[in-house]
Amino acid sequence: MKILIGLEIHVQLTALASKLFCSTDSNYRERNPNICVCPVCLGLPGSLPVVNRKAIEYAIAVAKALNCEISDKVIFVRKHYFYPDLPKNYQISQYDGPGFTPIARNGYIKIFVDGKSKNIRIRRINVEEDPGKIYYIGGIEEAQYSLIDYNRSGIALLEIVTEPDMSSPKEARIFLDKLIAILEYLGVVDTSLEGSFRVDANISIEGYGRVEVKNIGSIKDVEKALTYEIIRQKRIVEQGGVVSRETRHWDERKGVTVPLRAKEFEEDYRYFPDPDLPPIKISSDMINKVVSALPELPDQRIERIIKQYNLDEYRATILVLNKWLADFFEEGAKIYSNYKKLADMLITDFLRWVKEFSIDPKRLSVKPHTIVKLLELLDKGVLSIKMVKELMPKVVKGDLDIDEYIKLKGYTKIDDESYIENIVLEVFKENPKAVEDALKDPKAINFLIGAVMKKTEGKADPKKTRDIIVNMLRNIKDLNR
Amino acid sequence: MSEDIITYLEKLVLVKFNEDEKERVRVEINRIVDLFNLLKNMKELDIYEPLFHVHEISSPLRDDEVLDKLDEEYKMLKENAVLVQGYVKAPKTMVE
Amino acid sequence: MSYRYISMPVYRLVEEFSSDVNKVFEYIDAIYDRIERVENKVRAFITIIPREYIYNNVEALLKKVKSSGSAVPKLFGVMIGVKDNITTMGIRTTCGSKILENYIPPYDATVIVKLKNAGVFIHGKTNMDEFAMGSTTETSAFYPTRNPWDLNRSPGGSSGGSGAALAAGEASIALGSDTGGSIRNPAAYTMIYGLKPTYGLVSRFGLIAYASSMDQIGPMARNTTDLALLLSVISGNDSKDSTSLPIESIDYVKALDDYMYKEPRLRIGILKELFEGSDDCVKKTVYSSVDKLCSYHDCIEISMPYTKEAVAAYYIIAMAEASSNLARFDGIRYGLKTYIDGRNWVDVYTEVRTKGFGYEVKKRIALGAYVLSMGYRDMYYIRALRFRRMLREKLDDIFNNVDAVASPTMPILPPRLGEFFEDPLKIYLADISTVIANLSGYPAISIPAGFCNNLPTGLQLMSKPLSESILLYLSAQLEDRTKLRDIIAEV
Repeated sequence: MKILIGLEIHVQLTALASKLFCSTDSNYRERNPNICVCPVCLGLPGSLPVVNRKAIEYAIAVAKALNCEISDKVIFVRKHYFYPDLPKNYQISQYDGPGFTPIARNGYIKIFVDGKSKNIRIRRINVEEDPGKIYYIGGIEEAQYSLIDYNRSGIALLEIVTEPDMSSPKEARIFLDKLIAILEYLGVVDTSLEGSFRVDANISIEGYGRVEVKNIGSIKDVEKALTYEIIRQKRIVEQGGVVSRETRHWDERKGVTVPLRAKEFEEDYRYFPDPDLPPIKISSDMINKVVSALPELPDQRIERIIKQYNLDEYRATILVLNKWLADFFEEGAKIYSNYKKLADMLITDFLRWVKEFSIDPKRLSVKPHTIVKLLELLDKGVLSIKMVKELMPKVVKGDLDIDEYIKLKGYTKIDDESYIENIVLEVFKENPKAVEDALKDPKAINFLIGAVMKKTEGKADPKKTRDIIVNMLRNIKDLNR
Repeated sequence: MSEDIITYLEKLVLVKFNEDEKERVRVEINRIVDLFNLLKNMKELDIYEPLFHVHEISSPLRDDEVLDKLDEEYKMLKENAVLVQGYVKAPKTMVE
Repeated sequence: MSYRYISMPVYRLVEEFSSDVNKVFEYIDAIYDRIERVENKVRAFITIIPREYIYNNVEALLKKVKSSGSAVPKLFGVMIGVKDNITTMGIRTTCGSKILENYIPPYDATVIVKLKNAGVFIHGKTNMDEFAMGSTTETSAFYPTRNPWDLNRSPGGSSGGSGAALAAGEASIALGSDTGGSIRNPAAYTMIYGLKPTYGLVSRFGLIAYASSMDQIGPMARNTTDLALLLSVISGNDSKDSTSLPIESIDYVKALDDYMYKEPRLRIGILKELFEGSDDCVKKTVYSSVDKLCSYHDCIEISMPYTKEAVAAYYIIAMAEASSNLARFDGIRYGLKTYIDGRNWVDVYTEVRTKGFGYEVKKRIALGAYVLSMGYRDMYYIRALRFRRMLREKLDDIFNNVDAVASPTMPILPPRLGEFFEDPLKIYLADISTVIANLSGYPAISIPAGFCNNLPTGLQLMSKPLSESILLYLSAQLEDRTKLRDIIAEV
């Protein structure tokens, strides 16, 4: 059974200072209700919208990053429905249909799934305004009325709609990770802010009706919700039933999708171009200005990191998709040249603990030079790999001063066996005559021990060194028999 | 135009016509639609693109700046809406 | 004595006040005394600002000017009646509707800000058809306004209150709004001057919208110079209105003076179909006024078919946009309230809107939704917009050959109150001359043409975008010949 998944994503342009159609403060989170409002975003009679230039520039930037065709003009339409969070009882949005063009169309994002690359097509990108927020005292069932906060009303949103090109929840998750990375690189949205990134999904089994799933709260939930819904649909089909077109709601607590019991809005939104907003011409000058200011985007950075640091695509991708980690890496790479080792440490232990402790990368106290120091100590054999793994959690939390630690533990002795083994092998290679001598006369072993001590600046544990050399000589003797 | 359409329109725009008005509005709407239908028969219109905005101007674009930073509850809402702890009181929306 | 203030042109008031600022108070008394005498018969106002309030504001402004040493504002002391769909901060703004009966806006419309900066004081909000939907001011939810020239007749609409206030001497100047003729219609029916500016010349920010692509605020006055003066104050680009033209304010009085000095000979097109479609008396009276212009200018007869279709296109577009603009009225953030607890939003909204909107408004909202709904939008709304483009092209052709187009403003005399109740289509078709300017966005003026059976008639002149000066020029010329200026009806 072929699975078809399409996503509809709403992104708040949190980097804007003001709202989409008015100069009201867009920084509404954690403020008292109904403070960031004005006649325009409250839809007071007589108020009129005026478009925020930066919102259009950000939309163009996103469109470019998603390889879309950009419209030569932006037309806003009115989408009519009655709802308490919508002050004008219409939303100013865009529409894709004959005569009305969204700001961008026909793009794609390249993702890697199981080692193969795949393009997920972007159908369109719209610019539109956010409605206010609805609250209930108690629960939605018990409350006798609703409470509205219009602070969010009028905030600039980008609606990004994909074609149903994803064929598994995993692909959807990979797509979203890439999209979020692109948006973060562009700097148009801080996805850690609540409500800044919302996903609705469309899932169908080829040949059957399309089910829309709304209210998926977080990116983690996307995979869960999609997995559940696919199983649900598969079961119906396997039992000979038919999946019909409907809208369902993801219940996070119960982990299921449920049909929307509510009266559906009248589907007839009576779209027409907003007479208060003549079309905005998008000149090639405007596009060029945006393009020339574009930062390095994920795909470009992956390519560059592969070339510049001789890393493979897999490692480069993980670094780049976590922008802060790539930044961290490149900082460290300035003072440490074993790029592969650095990347490995960051991608495995380091990243693991940052995620484990849910540390906000923006608030990380540990700096790249600390990780580099760890690596250098590892190289010198002062610390073993085992020790580094044990210390990492403390390092990530910023609780460890490495120099102090080393002093405290008196790590002037090197007793990491694998480390010493490597040195011994080097010494054997460099001194073939001494090895011959030692094979004949056990007392000649002291020369070899001395050579190892020289190489480790006297730090190697003498007893361990002697044992290792003895073992190796014995192996050679056995081989020679 | 039938009564059904009137009822459909009532639902679309959330107004109701009372018993007295219903017949009157049905008759009047029918006559007005007859007037509207004058355009249906004008074949010459087919070659014209719709004119949405009378002047060829582009919407002006505004700088992204905050004017009038507000620090207190919007006074107008206090005077014109019903507020509960600063929130605007509104009817329930259906349980989803 | 102070009766002279009742009919005094604004440009004269300004001269009087500049010589002696205390005359302002005499003037205020004169107007308010007049209101006290005639308002109960005319009913031009919905809200009248208490006299003391104006006194206090005048004194406060005088004090401020004295202490800051700045110049006295251009129109200091003049009072204006403002149509009640124009937002005035702190002053109730109802749009003639129950749904906004107690709405007090928290901001001023841009035109109000400009008037205040010019030193003008608002002394009342004038009556209107509910949400500007009507041509007789009879759909006002409060009461109909009466025509000062015949109290059994309508003063026209939807800016009927402003027209009647001027004709009755209850205001020196007034603001109206025009979407399908709502300034020119009452101007013609009350024997005053009214101008619908080029779309976008006057800011719509703060005008409570009826049909956004056609609405314009415009000046109404008892003579051409006052019209020019008021237009100069209120016009000009506004960054708060995205449909506002990128034009700085023009001094129309100066432009008018220039024209009157140079007296260019213009070409005037006489719109055949609109004269032919008018009542005999109206036709005769308006023709004779046109003749007064044609003795100097070159007049040719022109033809424009599709005038009836223009009415159809106008109402399709207007109702569609109105149904959208009036969607916001649900009583939640402002306006008529009802009991909420335990009820869902569909029921609450329906109750508020059914109680708060009058019959005509409900009808237009319903029809507006109809022409925008799936399956009908192309047939009606889009089609009407195609007509609009065709009309514009035809007008552009016409204006290649003429500078102004003339027709009777209204094809009939001021209707009796209640006359159109039985046949609403008839009243829509009376807009046949006025809607053309709204559909196209072109400016048009109504000039007093003369009395017909003791009732007012008006001549409409229409011109190309941003040709208000031409219209004012022709108006001033006709005014000189008819002497129909600064006249007050005996109420």
